[in-house]
Amino acid sequence: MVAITLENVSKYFGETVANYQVNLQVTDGEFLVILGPSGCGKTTALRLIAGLEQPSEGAIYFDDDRVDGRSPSARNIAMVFQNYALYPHMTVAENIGYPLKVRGFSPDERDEKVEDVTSLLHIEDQVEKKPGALSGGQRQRVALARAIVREPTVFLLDEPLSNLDAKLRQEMRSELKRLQNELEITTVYVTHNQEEAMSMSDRVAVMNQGTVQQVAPPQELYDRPRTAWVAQFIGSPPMNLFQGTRRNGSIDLGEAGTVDLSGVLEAKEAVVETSERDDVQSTALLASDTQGTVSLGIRPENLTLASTPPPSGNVIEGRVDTVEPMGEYILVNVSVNDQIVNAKVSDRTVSRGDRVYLTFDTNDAYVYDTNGDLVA
Amino acid sequence: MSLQDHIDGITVDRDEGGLLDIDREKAVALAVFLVPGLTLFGIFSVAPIVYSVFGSFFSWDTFTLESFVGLDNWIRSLTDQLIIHWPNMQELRYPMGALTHNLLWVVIHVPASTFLGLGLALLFADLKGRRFLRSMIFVGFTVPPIVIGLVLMFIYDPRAGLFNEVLRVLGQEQWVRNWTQSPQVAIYALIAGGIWVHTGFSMLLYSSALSAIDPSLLESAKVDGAGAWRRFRDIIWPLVRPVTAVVVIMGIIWVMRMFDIVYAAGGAAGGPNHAYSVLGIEVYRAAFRPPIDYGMAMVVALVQLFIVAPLALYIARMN
Amino acid sequence: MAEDDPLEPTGIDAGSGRATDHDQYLSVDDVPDIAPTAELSWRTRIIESIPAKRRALKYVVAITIAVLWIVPFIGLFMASIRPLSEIIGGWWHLEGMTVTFENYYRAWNYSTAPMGQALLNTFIVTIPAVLVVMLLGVMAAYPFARFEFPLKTTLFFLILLVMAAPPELIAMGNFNALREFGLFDTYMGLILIHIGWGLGWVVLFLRNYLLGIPEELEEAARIDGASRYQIFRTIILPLSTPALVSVAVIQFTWVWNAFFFPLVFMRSPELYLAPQVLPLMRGRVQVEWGLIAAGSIMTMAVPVLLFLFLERYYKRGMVAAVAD
Repeated sequence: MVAITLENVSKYFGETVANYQVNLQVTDGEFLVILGPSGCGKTTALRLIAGLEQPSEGAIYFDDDRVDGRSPSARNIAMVFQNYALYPHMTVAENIGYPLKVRGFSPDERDEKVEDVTSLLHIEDQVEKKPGALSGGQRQRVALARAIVREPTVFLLDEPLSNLDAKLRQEMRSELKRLQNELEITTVYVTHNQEEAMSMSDRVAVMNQGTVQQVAPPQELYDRPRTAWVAQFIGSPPMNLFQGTRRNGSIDLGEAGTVDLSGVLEAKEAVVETSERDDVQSTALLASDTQGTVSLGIRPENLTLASTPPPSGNVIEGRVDTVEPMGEYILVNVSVNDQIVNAKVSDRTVSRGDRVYLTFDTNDAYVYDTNGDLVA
Repeated sequence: MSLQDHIDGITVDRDEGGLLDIDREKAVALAVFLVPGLTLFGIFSVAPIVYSVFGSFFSWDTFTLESFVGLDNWIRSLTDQLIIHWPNMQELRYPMGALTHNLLWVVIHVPASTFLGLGLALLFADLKGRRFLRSMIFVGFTVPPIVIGLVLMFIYDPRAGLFNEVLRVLGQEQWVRNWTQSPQVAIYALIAGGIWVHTGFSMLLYSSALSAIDPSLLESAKVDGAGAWRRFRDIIWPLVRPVTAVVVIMGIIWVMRMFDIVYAAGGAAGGPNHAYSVLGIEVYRAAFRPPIDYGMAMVVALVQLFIVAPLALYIARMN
Repeated sequence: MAEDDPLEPTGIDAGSGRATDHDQYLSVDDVPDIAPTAELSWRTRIIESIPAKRRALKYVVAITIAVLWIVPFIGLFMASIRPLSEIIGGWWHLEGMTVTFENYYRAWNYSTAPMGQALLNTFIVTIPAVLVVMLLGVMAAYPFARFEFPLKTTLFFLILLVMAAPPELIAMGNFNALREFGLFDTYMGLILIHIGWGLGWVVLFLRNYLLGIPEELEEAARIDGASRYQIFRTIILPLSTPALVSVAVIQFTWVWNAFFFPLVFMRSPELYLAPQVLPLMRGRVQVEWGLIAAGSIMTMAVPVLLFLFLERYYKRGMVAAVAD
C-alpha cells in the first residue's frame, strides 16, 4: 500500500490546459474521490497517476518514489475504465487472469487467484462466458475482479458506475466501498456524480478548470465549502447565493431586505476559529465605511418559510414562484429580486404568488467575497 | 345467412380489395425500382455467365455454337499444357501452366501483401500525418493496372531500370537482366510488383480495423503490464483476425483475376513461351486470338470462378 | 505544501480548528487559458516537439518506406519529361538533366491512336457508366434493403456470384450479344457492359448502407403522406449521398482503369480507350520509354487526382465495400 503525492503537476495537450499545478495527497489506504464537472481535468489527473499520460510539469510520488516517467506497468496500479475495457475475445476467466498471465504467474496460481476473486465478487458462475454475454453489472464486476486480482498497491477508477442504471449503481456503490474496506488499497475514484463522491469517499477533491478547488471529507465539504463555486457545486438543489452590497456591517439585498453581517460573522467564529487573514477580512467587512459586493450563501434546506414577517432575525422577502412536491420534501421556488431561490420545506403552506419571508439561522449562512472566496 | 354475416362478408371483401390495392401498389413500386437495374444486370452479367456454362458443353465454330459434346471441352482444357504443364512442374521449370502460375501468385503474393499491409498499418497507426503516409502507400492501387505493368517493365529494364541499377550498386552484376523477359524469374519479378501495388489495399483494411479497436483496451493491457509484443499478440491480433480473412480472400480474388499487369509485361502470350501466363490471359487468347477456341475460353473462365466463388460466399456468410 | 513532509494530509483537520490555507488552492482565474509552452519561441517549441528517440526512429522508418513506395512513380514521371537518351542512361542521374515536353506532345498526337482522342473516349465511356450505375444501383438497392419480395434471396445470391466472377467469364457471351445487337465496337456497347458489370457490387454496397438509415424516418414521411417515390427522392437519396459519392469515385476508377473490356469490345483505333493505347506504344526495336511514361502519366492522372481529392470517400467506400 502506498500514499500518492502530486506536486505542482500540470498537463498540457498542445495549447490546451488539462491540469494546472495540481497538488494532491492521497494517504495510504484512503478512498479519495476526485469530483468535478465534465472537462475539469479529473480524468487526466487519474491518467497521470496511472502513467497513461506523463505530466508536462511537476512530480508524482508513490510514497517516496518519484514515479512520473515510469510506465503504467512499473507502478503496480490497477485501473477500471468507464467502459470497463474488457477484452471482447477472452472469456471472463481469461480477462481476469490476464494481468497475472502477463506477469508470468503459472496457470495453477492463476486459476487459484481467479477463483478467489470471482467468489469475492460473486461471479463464479460467469467465468466461462465472453464479456458480450454479460449484463452491465456483471461486466462491472469482472472489470473490478481484473483490477484487484493481482493485489495492486493503487486502485484507480474512472467513472466506473456511470454506465449502470440507478438501482445497480446503488448496489455497486456499497459493493465497492466494502471491497475497499476489506482490501485497504489506496483508491482514487473519478466521478462527476456528487452523490457517489459523498457516500463512498474518505475525502473528496473537487476540481474545476484543471485545478483543485478544495480537498476535504464529505461532511466538511458540505458544511464549509471554500468557494462560492464549490458551494454551488455541492448539494442538490445547489446553495442559494444572494448578491448584495455590504454597508455599515450588513449586507444590503435591495428590496428584499438587509442581513446583519456581525451576526453571521460571530456565529461563524463560534464554530470555527478563523485564520488571521480571515480575521482581517471579517474586521474589514464590519467596518462601516467599506462598501463592495459580496454573496450571501444559504442552502435550501436551511431556509424557513413564513407568510408573516417574523419579529426578529434576518429576513429575506420574496414571492412564491412555483411549488414542486418531491415526496420527502417540498421544493419552493421563491423569486427574490428577480432571482429564483430554492427552499426545501416539509409541508405545503404556501402557493404561487404568495408573499413570503425567508428566515435562516446565522449559523447556516456563508459570506463569499467578490473573488468567490469564503470569508465567513 | 343472417344480416350480420352478410355485412361481415362485405367488410371482408372490402378488406381483401384494400389488401390487393396495397399489393398492386407495392408490386408496381418494386418493378419501378428493380426492373431497370436488374434488366441490365441480367443481360450483361448473368446471361453471359449462363451462356458460358451452357456453351462449355458444346463445340464451337469460331463464335457460333455447334453441337453438344459433353465434357469434351473440359477434359481438353484441363489437360492442356497451357493450363497445367505437368512435365515442367516436375522439373520446376517455367512455364508450368496458367493455373499453376495463378496458384503461385496466391501462395506468394497473398501472404506477403497481407503481412506487409498489417505491418505498415501498425507502423503508421499512431503517427502524425498517418493519413498522408497511408495515401502514399495506397495510391498505386488507384493507378490503372496496365500502367503498373508498364512501370514494372520499366523498373526491370536492363539499362533504364532502377532495380538493375540497385543490383549494380550492390555489386551483384551477375543478376542484372531484363527481369520481365527472363522466363525462369519473370513471374517472381511480377509478383513482387503485385505485392507492391496490393499492400496498400491490405494496409487500408487493417488500418480501419485497428482504428476500430477501443483504445481503452490497449490502455488496460498497458496497466495490466503487457509490453508492446504482448499487446499485439493478446489484444490487437485477435481483434483484427476477422479482417485478415477478408484481406486474404480479397487478395486471392485480385490475384485470380490478374490480367492487365501480365498483359503489359508479356502481351497476349503471357511472356516468352507463356512463361508467366495466367488464366485470364488464356481465356483472352482462346476467345479472341486465332485460332479461336470458345469452348476452352469458357471452361477456363469457369475454373477461375470455381476457385473464387466459395471464398466470396464465405465472406458473405461472415456478416 | 511542506517540502519535508509531502505526505501530510491537508484539509482533513481544517474544519476542526485551523482554517484552510487559502494559498494552498489556486483560484480558477490563475489557470492560464493556453498552455504556457505556447508562449515559448518557435525554436524551443520545435526542439521540444521532436519526439523521443524510439518514436523518432519510427518516423524515420515510416517516412522512408512511404517514399520508397512511390519511387517507381517518381521514375515514371522523370521519364515522361526527359529525352529517351537520358532515360536509358538512368532517370536517377540528375546532372545535365533536360526537361522536355516532347514526350507529352508525341503521346498526345500518337499516330496509331492519339492520346488526346483516347482520353476523350475514356471520358465518354466512363461518365455515363458511372452516373447510370449510381442511379439504377440506388433504385435497385432500396427494395433490397426495405421490402420483402419473391426471389429476393435468389437475386442476392446471383449478385454475389457475379461479384466473384472474373470479367473474362462474361466476355464471350457479351461479345456475341453486342455483335447481335449491332453495338460491338461502339461507345454504347462498352458503356452497357460496364453498367451491367458494376451494378452487382453497387447494389450490394448501397443496400448495406441503406440498412443503416433508420426506418423511422421513412415511417414519419409516410405518416406525413409521402408516396414511396417521394420517400425515395426526398429521404433516401439525400441521406445516401456519402455512399453515392463513394460509389461514384470507386466506379469511376474501375471503369477508367479497365483494360480488359475495351481490349475485347473496342476494335477501331479511333475508339480506343487510354489504357488500351499504352501497351501499343512500346515500339518495335527500342522501347519508347518517354512516350509510354507520358501516356501513362496522362492516363493515371485522372484517377489519382480523383483519389487525392476524394480520398476519404474512396477509402471509406473501399473498406465498406469489402468488409460488408
